[in-house]
Amino acid sequence: MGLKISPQQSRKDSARLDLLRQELYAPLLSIEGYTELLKEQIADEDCLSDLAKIKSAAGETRRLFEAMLEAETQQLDRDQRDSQRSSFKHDLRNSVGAISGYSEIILEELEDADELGDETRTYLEQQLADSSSLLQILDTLFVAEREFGDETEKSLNVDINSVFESFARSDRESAKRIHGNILVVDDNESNRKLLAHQLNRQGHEVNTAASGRAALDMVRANVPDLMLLDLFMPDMNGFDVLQEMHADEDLRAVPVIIITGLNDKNAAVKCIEAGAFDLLIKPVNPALLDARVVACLERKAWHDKEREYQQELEKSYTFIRKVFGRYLSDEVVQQILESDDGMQMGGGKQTVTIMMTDIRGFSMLSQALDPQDCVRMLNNYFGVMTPLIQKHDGVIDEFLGDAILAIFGAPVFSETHAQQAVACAIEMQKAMDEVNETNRKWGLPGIEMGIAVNTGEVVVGNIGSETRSKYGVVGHHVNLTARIESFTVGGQVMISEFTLAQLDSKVEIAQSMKVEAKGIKDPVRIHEITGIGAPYELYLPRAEQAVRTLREEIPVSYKRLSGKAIADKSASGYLVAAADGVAQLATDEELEVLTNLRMHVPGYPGAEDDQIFSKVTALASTQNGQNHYIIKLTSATVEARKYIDSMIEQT
Amino acid sequence: MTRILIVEDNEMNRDMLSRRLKRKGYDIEVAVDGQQGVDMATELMPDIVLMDMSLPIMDGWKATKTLRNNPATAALKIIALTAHAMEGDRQKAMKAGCDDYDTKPIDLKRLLGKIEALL
Repeated sequence: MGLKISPQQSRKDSARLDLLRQELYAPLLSIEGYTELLKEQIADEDCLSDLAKIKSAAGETRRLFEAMLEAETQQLDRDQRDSQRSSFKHDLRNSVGAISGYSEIILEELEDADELGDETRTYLEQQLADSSSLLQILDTLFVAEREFGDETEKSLNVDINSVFESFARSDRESAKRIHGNILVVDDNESNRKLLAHQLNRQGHEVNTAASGRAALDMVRANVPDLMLLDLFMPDMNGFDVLQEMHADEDLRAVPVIIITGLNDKNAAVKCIEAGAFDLLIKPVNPALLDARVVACLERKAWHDKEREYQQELEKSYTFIRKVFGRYLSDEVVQQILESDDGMQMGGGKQTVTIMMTDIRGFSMLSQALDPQDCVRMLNNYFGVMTPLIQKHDGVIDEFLGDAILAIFGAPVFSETHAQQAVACAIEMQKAMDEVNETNRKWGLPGIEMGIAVNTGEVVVGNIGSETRSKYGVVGHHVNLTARIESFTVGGQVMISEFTLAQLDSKVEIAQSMKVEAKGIKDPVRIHEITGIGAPYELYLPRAEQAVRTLREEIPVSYKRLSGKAIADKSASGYLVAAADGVAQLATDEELEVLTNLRMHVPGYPGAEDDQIFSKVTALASTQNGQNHYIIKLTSATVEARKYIDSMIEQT
Repeated sequence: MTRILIVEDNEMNRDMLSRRLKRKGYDIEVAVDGQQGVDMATELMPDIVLMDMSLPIMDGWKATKTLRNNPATAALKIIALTAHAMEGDRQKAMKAGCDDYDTKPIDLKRLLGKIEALL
């Protein structure tokens, strides 16, 4: 027995399968991502062999998904379909069960051996959560297919049904396309009645008008599918009616067939030139009338359909925009829509460039600010930065408090992602003037941003759990980027050696240094970039302000910070010179560049309880056995800054 | 020591279940199809048989019936395991003569509870 599936049903089915695919693949991609990460975390041979089994079970799961979704597109009778589905679910329970089972075994074994690190635990637990989501999906899969489908739609917050409503409409119309709503316009009553009678018999819905003026009124009230128009009428001839309709946007598309006597051929030709569809000679031959009318209605139906499809297309574009627009720029979405292979949404390892930015001393600033001002300031900042990132084909993965995490080179592949990211970073630093201009207008303090850029292989894909997953990146290089970011001071762009190696454009390097980072074996060379050459030609203004001597040296005490830990011993020194946000510290100690300091500066109201955070940026000189360091004030209260500025010797 | 016979054709399931139960201190034997399961159960007389229901050569239903029909093995404790999480499976398993029933993937705690309840 053949199964009938309407084109609309099959379109809806394929949309349902796409949603199902998305639902199934999100946790699987996440599992595959974590498996890759765990490979780097685990040293134990047995556990690695279990991890390999997880990987193979995930591969098996993927194969089963593909086969199951493929099978869903086949036309089968109910029993065949049920037994097929049940067999897929059976096999999937085994393969997903292997993922969760081996994850638990690895957890147990590492725990027993006391070798279970926090990260490893988190990854394994995430894998367990993902496999349990998959099992839950499998439990409900096809059981109550309708409800499940609706739930999926709801969870995406997109009403798929509305997308398909108009398909239904156009299908309905095509089914009755040879019937239409026809308006007959003729001043001669018997002609009018005859035409109406003939058309009625052919199944059309017919209205009549006895004059040109009446015809126009009726057309405006209810747009017909076709108009049969007598050429000569007392009040207004057919040609004038035609012209008036042509001038009206709503009526221009109504097809008109001119009805005319043998002698009026020239006038009829004029009408055709004015946009009439066809002409019929009186007395009208019924067969000819039928043929012309049907041809005309068919053509109009195709026109309507074409327009509907166009609207449909726009709707699906909106749909895709809604799903991806949250994290991709319009251009990127457009690119995805236009290309078949430009986007790789599947999880997997990929080399990308990662950018992280941070507003210096923001937590201290946010404490001092009114919450509304704080939000206003952040929105202004993000509002300026977002279009810049999108302009350079970056994808904003996340706003974290005052920080931005952006990815270049995925999901849309680009060969020049490193370069785009560096150019973007410079342009973002330049745009801080604009951000601070607005802040000043609002009476808010100025802010400074540090940017880190790093390039490396990471796992990209939809990461997360069933209920909350997003396109993102994980891996050591993400952590390294965060680490580099912690070395920047306001106004700086720091890039890793890996990014530098990928650049074709010339860059200006202000300074370079080596830093160590967790999870990366050798120290990594990082470079401060102050400009990028062709094709960008973007350069940061030289901000090197000469520090000016203070009227009086300010005695300070400070402690060194490393990471979150603070050194036990407090050291002392003197501030001997300063400029906007920068000071010169004289001390007996030797300090490494990039060391963070927590300082107490006496002498202003509230100074006893105040802490100033700063970062050593350079050794300026050594005088009388004392080291003079340039320090950047990374976080200081307004009072502290004011006090230091007030001590600068005026010339 | 409590001896458990696992009858399971899926290699990963067999590996996982036997390793995890061994860690819990059980003496584990494995069979890979229904016929081998019946042979080993008859020979070893384990305290518990964990019987997968979809097995090659002889399926779990038939293997269970075979064991029940032999007076020597009729009293063996058998827990049915299936990866079909369907309502009717439990009744079917009990009707076939199983002492209890559990679904795959295995929730170890739950299975241990069922094993201990039968011992």
